[in-house]
This record gives sequence, structure tokens and C-alpha cells, in this order.
Amino acid sequence: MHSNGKGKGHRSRKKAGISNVLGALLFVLAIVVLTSLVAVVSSQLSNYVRSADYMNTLERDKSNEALSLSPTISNNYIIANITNTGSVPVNITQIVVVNKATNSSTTYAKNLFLNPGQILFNYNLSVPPPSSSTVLLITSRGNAFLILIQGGVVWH
Amino acid sequence: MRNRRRGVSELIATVALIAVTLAAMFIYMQGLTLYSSGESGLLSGALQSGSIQNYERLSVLYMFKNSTALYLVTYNYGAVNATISRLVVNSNPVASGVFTPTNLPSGSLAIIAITPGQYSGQVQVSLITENGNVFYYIGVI
Repeated sequence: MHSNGKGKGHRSRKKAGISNVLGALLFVLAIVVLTSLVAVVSSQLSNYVRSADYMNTLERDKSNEALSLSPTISNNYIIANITNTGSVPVNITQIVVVNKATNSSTTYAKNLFLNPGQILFNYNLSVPPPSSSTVLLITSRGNAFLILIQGGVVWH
Repeated sequence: MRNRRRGVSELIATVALIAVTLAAMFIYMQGLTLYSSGESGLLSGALQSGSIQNYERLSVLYMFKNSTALYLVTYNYGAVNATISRLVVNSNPVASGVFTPTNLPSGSLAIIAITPGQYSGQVQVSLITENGNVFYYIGVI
């Protein structure tokens, strides 16, 4: 009887030990599962939020871009007074000239930077326009400012 | 005899519990990998493609035409390169033989030609990108 009792007690302790280990194992697994899920979701979500925020800022800056142009033609080149009347810096990256007579286009690369309020007087765009053409000043944020030339006369 | 049966049962139960735990862990790891691996992942894929969609921006700045084609002056002002996969003009998809997918790097300009240029008056153009964005433009030529 005595030895049986000891045996039962020994088995009972052994069972309790296994149960503790398994319990701890399941608990650790649950923690790992939750932690990894939260880490993945929060990382991806923060990237998404950052992209939305970046593009919102870009769109706001784009709508705040404004240029005032006073162009003339001199020696077959466009000379213009250019004022940045917007609240953000403007970078003119491309000039596209569309010849209305032939309906063909020529693209010129440019890197003209204007801070808010900055004025460029008699700036030579170094673009020889056809007598009937549309000139697009394209900014880095995707805005286009037009100069229309009809019969050698500039409209804007 | 009773003790022996109980011992086997405990052993089987322990092995079964470990097997179930390992199987559950394996299924979970598979699911987590599927969930979080690159753009094909269910969760990360949705969020990553959403981020790329957010970063993609195209604008049609001007359009003109001649006897051969309609031209769209298109500028990518987004933060990522964009591939225009389909074009819809006046609610009609432009045939794939007429328009080939065009890649526009970030900050670059492209003049896209659509032949033949039979369009006139008000023209509505939709640029559909590979990432599923649609950029809409209405112009008069």
C-alpha cells in the first residue's frame, strides 16, 4: 500500500510537470503568434500611411504652384519675365513646344528653379518658337503653364 | 493492467498534443508567410500595392493631333515609375495593336501617340496603369 501510494504520487508529479511545460509552450506560441502578426501589420500599415501622407503633401504643393508670365519674342527666342506667385518653390523641368502648323512637338530639358516671390526679368528660355505654337512650361510637380504664339504674337 | 492502459493513454495524449501543436504551428507559419511575403502576400500585398498606387501619379498636360495621330503630353510626377497598360478614349478602349504599354519613369515626360487621330472636339482620355490606377483627362482639340 505504502509503495503504491508513493508510485501514484510520483506519477501525479510527473503529469503535472508535463502539463506545465506544455502550457508554457502553448503560451509562448500564442505570444509569438500575436507579436509577429502585430509587427507585420503595423510595419505595412505605417508604410501605407507614409505613402498617403507624402502624396497628400505633393498634391497640396502642386495646387499651390503659380507662375506669372510676361513673354515676348526677341531675336526669334522667347524672353519672359517669370514670377513665382505661389507659396511653394517651383522647378521648371521641361519645355514642350507644339508647332500648330505641323502639329509636331519638340521637348527641351530645363532646370529653372524659382523660390516663392522670386522674379526673373527678361529671362531667355532659349527656345525658338514657330510663329504659331503652344509652349508648355512643365514643372516637377506636373503642372503646365502655357504661352500661346499666334502669327508671331505672344498670348498668355 | 489498469495502470498500464492509463500509461499508454497518457503517452498517446502527449504525443497527440505535441503533434497537434506542431501541426498548428506549421499551418500558422504557412499562413503568416502567405500573409506577409512580398506583394503576393494577402495582407502585405494589399498594403504594399496600396502604397505603390498612392505613389503613382500621372497627368496629361496637353493634347494635340495631326493627320496621323492624337498626341498626349503626359508627365509622371509621382514617386514611382508607372506603366500605362491600357488607354480608353471617349469610352472606347484603344486596341492593343494600336497602343503598346508605355513605361514612364518618375519625373519624366512622354508624348503618347494614338493612331489614327480621328478624334475631334471634346476628347476624354483615361490612362490605366499596371498598378490599377486610372488617370482621367478631358481636352478639346
